[in-house]
Amino acid sequence: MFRRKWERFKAYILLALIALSVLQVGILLGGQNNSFPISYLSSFFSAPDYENDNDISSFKGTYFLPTRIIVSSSLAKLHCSIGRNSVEFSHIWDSARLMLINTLKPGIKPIDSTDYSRDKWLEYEMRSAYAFEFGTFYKMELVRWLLDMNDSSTEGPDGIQGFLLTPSNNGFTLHIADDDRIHTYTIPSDDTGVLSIDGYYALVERLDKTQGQVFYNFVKEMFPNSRIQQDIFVVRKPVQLPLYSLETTVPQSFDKPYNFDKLAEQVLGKEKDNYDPDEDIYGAAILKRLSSVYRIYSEGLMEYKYLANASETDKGSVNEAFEKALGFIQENKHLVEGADLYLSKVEEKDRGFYTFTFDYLVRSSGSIHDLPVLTDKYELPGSLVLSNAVTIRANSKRVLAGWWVVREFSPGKESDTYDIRFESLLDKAAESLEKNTSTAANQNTSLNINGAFLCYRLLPSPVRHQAIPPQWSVTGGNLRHFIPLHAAAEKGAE
Amino acid sequence: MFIPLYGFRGVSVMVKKLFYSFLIVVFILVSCVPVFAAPVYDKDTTATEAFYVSITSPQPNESTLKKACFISGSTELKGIRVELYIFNSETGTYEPLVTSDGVSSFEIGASGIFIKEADLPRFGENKILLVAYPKPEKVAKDTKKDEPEKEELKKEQRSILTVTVLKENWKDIIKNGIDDIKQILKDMKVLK
Repeated sequence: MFRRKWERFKAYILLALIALSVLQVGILLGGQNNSFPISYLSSFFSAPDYENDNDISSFKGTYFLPTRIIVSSSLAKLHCSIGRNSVEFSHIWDSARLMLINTLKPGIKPIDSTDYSRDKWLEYEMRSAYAFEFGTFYKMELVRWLLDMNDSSTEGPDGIQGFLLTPSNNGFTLHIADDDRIHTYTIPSDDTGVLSIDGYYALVERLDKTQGQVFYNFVKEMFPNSRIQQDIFVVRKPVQLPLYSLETTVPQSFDKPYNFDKLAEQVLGKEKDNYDPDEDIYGAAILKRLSSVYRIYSEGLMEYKYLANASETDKGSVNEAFEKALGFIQENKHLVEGADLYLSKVEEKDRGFYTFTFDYLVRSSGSIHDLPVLTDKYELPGSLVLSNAVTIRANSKRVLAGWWVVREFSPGKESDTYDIRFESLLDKAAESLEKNTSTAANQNTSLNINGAFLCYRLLPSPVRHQAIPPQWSVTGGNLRHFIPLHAAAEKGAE
Repeated sequence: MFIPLYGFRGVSVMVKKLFYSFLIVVFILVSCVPVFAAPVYDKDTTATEAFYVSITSPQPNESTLKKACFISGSTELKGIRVELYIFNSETGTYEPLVTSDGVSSFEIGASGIFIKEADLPRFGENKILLVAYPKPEKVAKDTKKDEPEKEELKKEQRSILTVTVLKENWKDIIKNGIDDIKQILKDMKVLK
């Protein structure tokens, strides 16, 4: 009897000791760094990458937004760009996205398919009602994933680099451009949803009457049959526009001397207690974990690397890798303010991973909407040069490396009025060409422009705060030039 | 002409002769100065060859539903000035055509390209006169001393461009559900 009671007492003591041990291990786990075996054990307890499985679904659609929606009427010789901040943008895009989903279903075939060329696409675009332009070519499997389309079809386009809706007697004609063909579908009027023909005509009439509306033209309409790329889209009226400079700031947490706790909280989030701090010979703050490392440069650069070797067999599909890339962006996007990110390129040439690049888009710069911010000449030690805001290498399992030019953006306090005539740009480009050509043989080099648009240019700077004015980005051949905008002269001053 | 030689008491005859001689000389010299009147372009103005500027827009006999058009062109030469005029059928002359930049004349810039937009005043036919010529300084610069001015540098190029503004209101047309100007022009038998 006594023995039984004694054994029972020992069992209770043992249970209490076990409970205390578990509690103590938990306390120790919270306070430990990533040294083995804690890191090995903590991988079983660490929080997942996302708060829940629905997170990616809730925001992935924002990475399939057009960088520009153009509303046109060939009769009215009218082209207007609809900004992301406007009510019309979401209205038009939501309807167009639904049309796209309904069109890309299995069993629906295009009524026509023809070879793609820039000139042919321009002919379609000039007659279209709505034109949707994207920052890059999206492969169809990525499009289906971004649009939550579970079924797949082998017919139709291989992907989307842009699409058009053209009014027809029965509704709309949809033209989709992939990398080498234009595919044409008909959309009956009862399938156009909220985006009706009557709605389109009402919108055109409203835009035509709107005071201060900015109107555009294609070069073909202003200067046909010239050596200048005919599909360049430029402002026609007004010829002078107020535009803000863009204020950019490196986050304060990136300042030297580094506050590692603050940096860790910003960069590592929930994992902020699990890292080894250090500073490398280039002056970058290092936040090292067992399997990955972050480097933070005071100039506003953030670098991430996965330290273990990745297998080439883990490359997977582009949407699996893109999902990982979006997860990385979602974890870090709180570092950026005042600008959207849009997908600007997808590269598949590497054997073990995909490379996704993203750039910034500023929604409002005054009278013109959605100006891109072009990142230029950011050099990292090891001679890697960044020419995009975010570059991510990812496979189906994880992000392998990421580079991010981190900035907070805001419009400048005052705007300047600029001369944004295309003619002025051509004259300045010609003057610049004359100054930069040294030999007599090159003096007659004619302007060969195949792209031009307004943008902000983000260059490396030792100062934390910069104000960057808007300027032209002009591409000729394989070269890009940046040409400053000039203040508007008084009208009639010629 | 009666010249009063004795009209000014107290002044010697010699001085009076000199004074009136001076007046005569001035009168003769002034009357020899040529007066440059602005050229008048009227309905008899004819077009020349396009030896300074190639015009890319408007296209020949262009039609439009909007009372505006682009006037664009290019040149290989430097220092070419362009003046734009619009024909006024009431006066029978060409009057300066002010573009959306607020100018009716301009020098073509370093690119050799010009693109201007102008409102058209009336429905129906609008005749635009483009006059292009080298700047006078260019003529002087390119002409060697004592050498007669080169014939072609003295000329002006005149190009007459016709743009027809159709009376139909584009808003009424698109309400009918047709948004193809070519089809409309075919229907109106403007285009074959």
